[in-house]
Amino acid sequence: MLKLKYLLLMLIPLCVLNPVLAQQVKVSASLERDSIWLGDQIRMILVAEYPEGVKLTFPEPKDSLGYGVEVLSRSARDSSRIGGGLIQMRQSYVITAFDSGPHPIKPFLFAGQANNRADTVRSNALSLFVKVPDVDLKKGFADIKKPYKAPVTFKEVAPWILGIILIASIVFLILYAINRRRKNIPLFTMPAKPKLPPHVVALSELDKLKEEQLWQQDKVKDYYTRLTDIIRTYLEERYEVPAMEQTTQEILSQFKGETTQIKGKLYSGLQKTLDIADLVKFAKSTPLPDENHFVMVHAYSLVEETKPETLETVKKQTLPNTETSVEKIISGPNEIEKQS
Amino acid sequence: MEQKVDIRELNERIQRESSFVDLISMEMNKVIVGQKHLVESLLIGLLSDGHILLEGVPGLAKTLAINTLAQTIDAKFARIQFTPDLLPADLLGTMIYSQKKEEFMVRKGPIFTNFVLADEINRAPAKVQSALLEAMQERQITISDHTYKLDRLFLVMATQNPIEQEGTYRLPEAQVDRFMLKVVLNYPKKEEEKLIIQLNLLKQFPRASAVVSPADIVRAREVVKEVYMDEKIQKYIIDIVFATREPAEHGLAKFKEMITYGASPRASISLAQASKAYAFIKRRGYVIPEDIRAVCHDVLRHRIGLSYEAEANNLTAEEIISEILNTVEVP
Repeated sequence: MLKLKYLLLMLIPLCVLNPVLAQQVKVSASLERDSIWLGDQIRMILVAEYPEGVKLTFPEPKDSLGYGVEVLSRSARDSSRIGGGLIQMRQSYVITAFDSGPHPIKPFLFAGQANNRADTVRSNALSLFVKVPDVDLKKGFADIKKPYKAPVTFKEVAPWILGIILIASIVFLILYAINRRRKNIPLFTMPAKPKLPPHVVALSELDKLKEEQLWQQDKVKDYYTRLTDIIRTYLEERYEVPAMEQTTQEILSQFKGETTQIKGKLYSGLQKTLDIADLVKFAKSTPLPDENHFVMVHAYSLVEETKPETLETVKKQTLPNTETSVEKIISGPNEIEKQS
Repeated sequence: MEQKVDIRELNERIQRESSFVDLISMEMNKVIVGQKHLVESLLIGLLSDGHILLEGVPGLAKTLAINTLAQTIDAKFARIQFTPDLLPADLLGTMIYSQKKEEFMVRKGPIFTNFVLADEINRAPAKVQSALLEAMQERQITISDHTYKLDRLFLVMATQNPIEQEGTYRLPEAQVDRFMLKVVLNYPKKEEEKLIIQLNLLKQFPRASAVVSPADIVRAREVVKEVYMDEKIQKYIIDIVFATREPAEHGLAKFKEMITYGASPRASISLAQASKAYAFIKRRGYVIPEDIRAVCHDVLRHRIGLSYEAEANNLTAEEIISEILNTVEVP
C-alpha cells in the first residue's frame, strides 16, 4: 500500500507536465492520394514540428505498415527551422498494397523529451483504398500483354557509343603506327618547314662552298663532289628531273636541244663542268686553278640565268646589271656585301 | 684502301692495248649483222675472264658469234650440244683402254679448248651441268687421278632457249651465279634482217680473219685489272647490290615482297670486273657510273630471285634493276 502511494506521487507531476509537451509538438501523417490502383505506388509523408529544446524520436516503420500495406523505400529525414523557435522534420515513404479494398494505417508514435520530461505524441490515422480495375468477364480472357518496350535513352546509349569510339580510335592508332613503321616513317613528325625556292638554296650552298675554299686547301675531290651535288640538286628541284640518280651523259641528254632553257654557252658550260668533275671524282684528275674557278662561275651563271621568270623580272627591276653581278659575286665575299 | 695509280699513264697504256678491240669488232661486224650488244658482251666476258649465259630463241647467231670470236683471236672453239643423255665424260673426257699399249689412256673431252658453246645447257641433267660449271669455276679438270689445267683463255658461252621448257633441267641458282653475264638476245631490226636475207641468198658469207692472238688477250686482261675504280664507284656498286637485298631500305619498299633473294657478293665482284672491262673497251683507264649502268642488267638479271607475287604481277628482274638504277643515287 505504501508502495502504491509512492508510485502515485511520482506519476502526478508527469500527468501535469505531459500535456504541456504534447501541445508544443505537432505531428501529422498524410498520403498523396486516398486511393490507388492495385500495386500502384504512393508517397506517405510524416511531419513533426517541435520547439528547439525538444529531442524528438521519429517512428521507424518496418517493411510493412500492417493490413497489407508495404513500405518500398524511405527518404532521408529533412529538418528545417520554420520560425518561432520551431523545427520542422519530415520524412517520406513510398508505399504500395496488393490487396484490394480499404487499408487503415495506424497512427505513428513520436517520442519527445525535454528538460528530463518525456512524452509520446500520436499522429493522425490514415486510410488507403486500393482499387481493382473493372473486368468485363463477358469478353472472355485476353492474352497476356507483352511488356512495353521502353524507348532507349541517350544516357543508356552514351557509354556504348563512347566505348565504340574509344576502341575504334585505338584500332586506328595501332594500324596507323604499323603502316608508318612499314613505310619507315616516324610516328609523329614535325610540320615541314616551308621549302625555299631551289635557286635560293643553290646560291646559298654555292656561297658556303666558295667560302670554305676547299680546292685552295687541296681538297679538290670534295670541292667537285659538293659542287656537282649542288648543281644536280638544283636541276632536280628546278626542272623536276631525277638528276641525282642520273649520270653525266643522262643529265646532258635531258637538256640537249634549243628548246630547253639550258642552251648555248650554259649547256656547254654545264657539259664542261660535269666532265671535269667526273675526271676529278673518278679518275684522280687535278684540274688547273682556272678550271676550278670556271666551274664555280658557271654554277652561279647556271642558277642565276635559269631562275623562274617572275623572280627574274623582279631582279631586273632592282638589279639591272645581272651579268656583272655574277662576276662580282665570284670575285670575293667583300663584293657580295657591296652588291647587296 | 687508297690505290696509287697514274691515270694519265694508264690511259695511254689502255689506248695502246685496246686497239685490238676495234679490230675484233670490225671483223665480227663483217660476219654478224646486228647483235652489237652480244658482241660487246662477248668482249666484256673475254676481257674480264667471265662466262656468259645467253638466252634467246634459236637462229639469232649465237653459235656464229662465238665461232667468229674464236676465229678473230686465232683460238680453238668447240660446240657441245647438251642433250638429256649426255654424260659428264662426254664433256670432260675419260680413260680408255688401249689394247696396243695394254694400258688406260686419257682421252680429253671437248671442253679442252678456248671457247666453248654449251648449246641448250638446260637440256642436260644436273650432273653434266655441274661438271661444266665446276670446270668453269676451277679452271681445271680431274680425270681419274690426273688433274689437267684448262687454257688461260677459256670462255664458256652457254645458251638457254626461253620458249621450250618441257624436258629441261632448270639451272640451280647457285650455278647460274657462276655466269658473270646473262645476255638476253632480241630479234634483229628490219634493216638488219633484210641484210641477212641478202647475204644468204647470194651465198656470200664473209669470213673473219685472225687479228689478235690469245696471248694478247691474256695481256689485255692484266691491263683491265689495273683500270682504276674509285671508292665512290665501289660504293655505288654496293648500293645497287644492297638495293636488291634490302629494297625497303633503299626507298623500294614495293619490291620487298617481290624479291625472294638478292644478288650475292659474287654479283658485286662481277659488276666491278665487267665495268672495268667495259671502261677498257671504251678506251678509258677509269670506271665511271655509266660503265656500271651499262653492264648492270647483264650482271644482275640472273641473280635476283623473284617471288610468286612478282610473277603474278608480270614483274621481271629487268624492271626491278631499272627501278633500282633510277632510285640509287649516282656518285
